[in-house]
Amino acid sequence: MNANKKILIFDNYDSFTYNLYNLIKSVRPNYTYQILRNNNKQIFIYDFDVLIISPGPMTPDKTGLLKDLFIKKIIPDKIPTLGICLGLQFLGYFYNTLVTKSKQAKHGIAVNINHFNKNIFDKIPNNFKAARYNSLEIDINNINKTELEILATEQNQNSVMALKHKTLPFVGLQFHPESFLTQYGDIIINNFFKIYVGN
Amino acid sequence: MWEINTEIKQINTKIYLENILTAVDKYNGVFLFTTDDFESGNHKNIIGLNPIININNSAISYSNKSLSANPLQIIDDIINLNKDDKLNFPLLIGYLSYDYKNEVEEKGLYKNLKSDIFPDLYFSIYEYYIIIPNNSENIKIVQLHFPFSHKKIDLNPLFKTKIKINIQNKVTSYISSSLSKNEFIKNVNQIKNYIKKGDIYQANLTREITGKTEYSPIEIAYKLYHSNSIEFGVFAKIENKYLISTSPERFFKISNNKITTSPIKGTIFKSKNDDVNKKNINELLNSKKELAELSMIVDLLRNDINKICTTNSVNVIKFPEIKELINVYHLYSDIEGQLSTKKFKDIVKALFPGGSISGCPKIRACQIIEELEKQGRGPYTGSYGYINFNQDMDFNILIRTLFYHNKNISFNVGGGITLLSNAVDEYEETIFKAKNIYSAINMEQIYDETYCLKD
Repeated sequence: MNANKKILIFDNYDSFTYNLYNLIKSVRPNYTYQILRNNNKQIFIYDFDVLIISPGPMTPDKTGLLKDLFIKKIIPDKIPTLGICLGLQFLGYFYNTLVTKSKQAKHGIAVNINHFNKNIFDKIPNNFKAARYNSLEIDINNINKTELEILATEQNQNSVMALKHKTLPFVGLQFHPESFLTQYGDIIINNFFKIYVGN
Repeated sequence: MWEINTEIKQINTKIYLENILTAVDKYNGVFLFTTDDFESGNHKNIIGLNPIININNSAISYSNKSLSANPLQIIDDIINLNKDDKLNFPLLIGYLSYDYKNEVEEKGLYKNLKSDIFPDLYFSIYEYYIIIPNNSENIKIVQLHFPFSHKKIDLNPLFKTKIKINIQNKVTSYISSSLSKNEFIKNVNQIKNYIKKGDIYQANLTREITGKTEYSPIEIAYKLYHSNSIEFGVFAKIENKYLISTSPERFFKISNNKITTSPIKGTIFKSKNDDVNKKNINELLNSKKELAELSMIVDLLRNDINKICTTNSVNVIKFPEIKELINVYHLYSDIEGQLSTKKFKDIVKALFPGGSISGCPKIRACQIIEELEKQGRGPYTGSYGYINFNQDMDFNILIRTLFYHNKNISFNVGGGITLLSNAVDEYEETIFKAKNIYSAINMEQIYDETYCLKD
């Protein structure tokens, strides 16, 4: 059985947060979960082992207390973090990549994901289908100069679909693993926990 | 709080629509209906007559008394005291308005826009419920007995010979639209800007049309009843005002602890030519715009029911399916889950307002709707339905709905706006969708409102 870990789901006033919660809970049913909205000061008091950043409206600088939480807790304590959509864009913004208008904004459309068969994509077939809900994206040309590296892109379109920090336990997904249009969402989440949380 | 007793009679008789509408008007009743072109089996018509206990935004009233109360809490208290698994008929019938969104979210997120004509929430416990399965004469009459005295009514006229409703040629004059054509188009483009900036993926924009009518509410209800296939219709009289809905959309249904929600997105108009229809259905099933919009709403509703369902129990059962009505085809989906709570308060807080008539992400979309529509919606895009003694429920989405108050009528028209929307097309679609309402009330010709209705 999995040891009990405490998961904080950082909710950016989103409408997919409970899909994400349900997906993660189905993969790690014995963990303890807390969902807090992005301006709730409880996030500084609640003691947690893993941070999940929800998708959400607007831009990555409009994520409430997230930047503060990163500086005060996530980086010093090296807390494993998985950011979805706006969560990935926050990682990009925090590590000084450019967040730009997407080459092609897509909402509620499944695209093919190209990846390097490693990290969270271990044992997942290439070109699997995943749902996009984004108008903004990380500028792909700028990434290699930062502390981030690309894990996946959209097929036929040079857009970042997943990334990780080079040394710290931070992963971001631009696509939505919790969407009903996405394949292998549960395996990706399971891989994240195996690699970064240890079980 | 009261324990309510029930007395059930089963009879075999024909009840005429004319008599139902007349009784609803006379006894402050409600009629939840599905038109006859839907097969029997899954559908039933429910009449509630003589409201004895009424609950609104802030108070519960009965027998000339009124006590202030939190409505969702008091509804749960009434359900808890009276729940009975064996009784599959209504305890309460009523609605939540779209503007009730202000009460289910944290304070400060919304501007608190309201419509001042209808209450934000209204539920009643009626003395009589009459349940008529579709296309059947096997009728159940339930009388509720309350532990206090109240006004009684005579049900007999309901079953007598057909009352005649003479539909004469009357007119409804146009007064206004809350957004002009230019404002509507400007707002569609503003929503597209918000989408490009990353604020939202989709928002539902509507406008309110008002008029003054010579028709009586019964006449309008009678004409609207015959104007279309209506699966989730309502005719209700509340505090001398009338709500008449021709809704094709179910919001959610709860039966045996299972919740089903059935969002609709995408509409095409039927042709008389079957080959054209086949081609159009095929186009709808493969339309990138419509499928993307429906997918968004499916993910949004999965999210909302995940709040009140057990882990891993929420499933998309149908995606996409075609629903055929007399004059249109719709694209829809069914999503199911196993409930982890039966509290009405939890259900309302998880689901309201409906995803298909607000937008995604919902809170930001509702804020943008407030900014662009500039007024409350009232019961429009809220939800009407019943709560049974056995805690089953069925609620619609109050679209294609007309409101009547002292000869004044109003109805909203609108549509979902995405990045793929064309502003002029969206405006025209709002007129198409209201075609049955315009013709039922014989609204005078206004160029902007009717130019695309000509065949």
